[in-house]
Amino acid sequence: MTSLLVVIGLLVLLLLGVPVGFALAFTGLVGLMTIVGFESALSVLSTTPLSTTNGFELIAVPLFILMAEFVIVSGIADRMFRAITIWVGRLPGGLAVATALAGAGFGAISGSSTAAAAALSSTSIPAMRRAGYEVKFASGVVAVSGTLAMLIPPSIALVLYGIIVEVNIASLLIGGVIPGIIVTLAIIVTIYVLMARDPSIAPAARPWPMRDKIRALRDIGPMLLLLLCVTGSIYLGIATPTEAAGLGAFGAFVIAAAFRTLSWKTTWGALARAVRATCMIFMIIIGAHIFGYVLTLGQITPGFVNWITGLDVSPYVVMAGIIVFYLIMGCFMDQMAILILTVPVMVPAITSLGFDPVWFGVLVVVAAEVGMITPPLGMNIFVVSRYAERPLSEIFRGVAPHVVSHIIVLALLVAFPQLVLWLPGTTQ
Amino acid sequence: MIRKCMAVVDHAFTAVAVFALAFMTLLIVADVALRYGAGTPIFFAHDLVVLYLTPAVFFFGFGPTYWRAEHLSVDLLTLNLPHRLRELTDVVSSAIGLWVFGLLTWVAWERAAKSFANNEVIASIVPWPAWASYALVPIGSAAMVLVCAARIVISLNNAFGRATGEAAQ
Repeated sequence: MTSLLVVIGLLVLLLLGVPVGFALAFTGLVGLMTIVGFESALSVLSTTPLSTTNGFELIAVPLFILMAEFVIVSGIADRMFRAITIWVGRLPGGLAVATALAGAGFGAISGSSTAAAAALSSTSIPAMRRAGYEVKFASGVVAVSGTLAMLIPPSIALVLYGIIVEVNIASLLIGGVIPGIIVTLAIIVTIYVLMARDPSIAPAARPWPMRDKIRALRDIGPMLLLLLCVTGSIYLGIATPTEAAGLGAFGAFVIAAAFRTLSWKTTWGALARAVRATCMIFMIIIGAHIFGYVLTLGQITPGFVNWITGLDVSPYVVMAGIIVFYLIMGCFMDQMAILILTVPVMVPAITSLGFDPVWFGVLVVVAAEVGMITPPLGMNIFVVSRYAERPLSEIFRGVAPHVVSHIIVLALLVAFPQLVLWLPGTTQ
Repeated sequence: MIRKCMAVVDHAFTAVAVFALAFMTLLIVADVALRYGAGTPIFFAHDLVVLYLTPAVFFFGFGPTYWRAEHLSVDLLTLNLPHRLRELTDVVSSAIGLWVFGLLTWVAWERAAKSFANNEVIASIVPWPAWASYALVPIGSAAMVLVCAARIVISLNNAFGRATGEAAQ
């Protein structure tokens, strides 16, 4: 009963706008004081925050965030978009396809979806507008392409999932590669389906001479170098995810220096933003750990697992229900908060049904991608709306076809788990 | 006045966290490079990163993050509240933060002091002092307590005081 009251108290505080980490830590502590007494609750408080931050794997999070910050400072996204545009821009819809590919490329060197949307918006929306693309269509492509960073390694969301569930982080990151490619292809297919219905939304842009195309390949080089540093080193077993994150952050710093975009101010800004983004995430993790004691003492997780496994339906029906739950939650809450709050309860349930936690992690992140572009709290929509200077409703309409294609991809990944699990099985 | 004092706290604690993050990155890269390049990894890198640099990034960064209102919250309902009610929800948030981090400062300080008195060291190649790692928690948490207290005063002033603009968030 106390645990139930604590959960209700948590929901009330969240609705009041109390920071998620504060709400979790507060309700967790109050619950512990009620269940096991003041002294025991203080004992949990004295050890949990430091022990939560003591894991070597955790350090991958600030380092991947720092890498994303230096990638933004370097302007790689702009160069990448321009280079891809030179190659495919002359085709009808070519700039939209270039946006999707640049989104995937940016995702391969940065784990932040919102940062990707911001970087792509500043370059690709003006380019598509100049080429006569329909703004609703162009904004939708940018918003959805930004979400790829959440799935394609290095994915901060997948690292966090691995930390919370204690699943091999390298397997998770490599598991995101093929789904990331599939989602990229789904975006491109959706672009062509929309163009088939109305070709005027994405006219062909100017062609480029071969000399420019060859020269443009130089701008792809730094992206490939970082890709090799991070995903390559993890896949080949040369570095742990934390070491790869360190190499990636340092590599992005070197590239930014080589592009002459670094100054003391931009370097300090990148480091300070990385610190604050990290602290925002870890405040929630520490709160969730304290709250987790209440869930354990209240037998909430085992109760949920027993209930799920006792249902007289196919495990796939349960999985469909869980995915729908994530899609609905994604409309109203931040994706990181959903991940940290729900995964500790969900994963024991899905593993008891015989599903693989690596596969489930990738599914949750693909569902979270949808949450980034669905109303009312689609973060990428807010970012794109600001850059495109168009109303939110128009961007939401523009991205709606991509939401449908994302859900189709989710169904595909549920039906064929090997799409996720095959590549991690081949790692060194 | 409050804003000026908190700006100093914000800059000081951010500086330590930024230095720790930069040093951590360089140390990890150097460790990997030396391991594969010269076959001699930095033997103390892991302990230094886990014991001191990581807690410094996290605990020294919590206060500045809250001062800039960058801790994640669900603002679906509060965005539509009238100004005064919104300020009051901020007071509730800061009061909760004050209570949690006040307790944390207290218990973590006791733990660090006890470790210092017992001259505890880490069981590793280098016997690093444990108390220095423990001490990062109460120092960082104390900054958070200050930020929460400052935000309570500012929000109450915004809700009920004169609209001076100076106090507005």
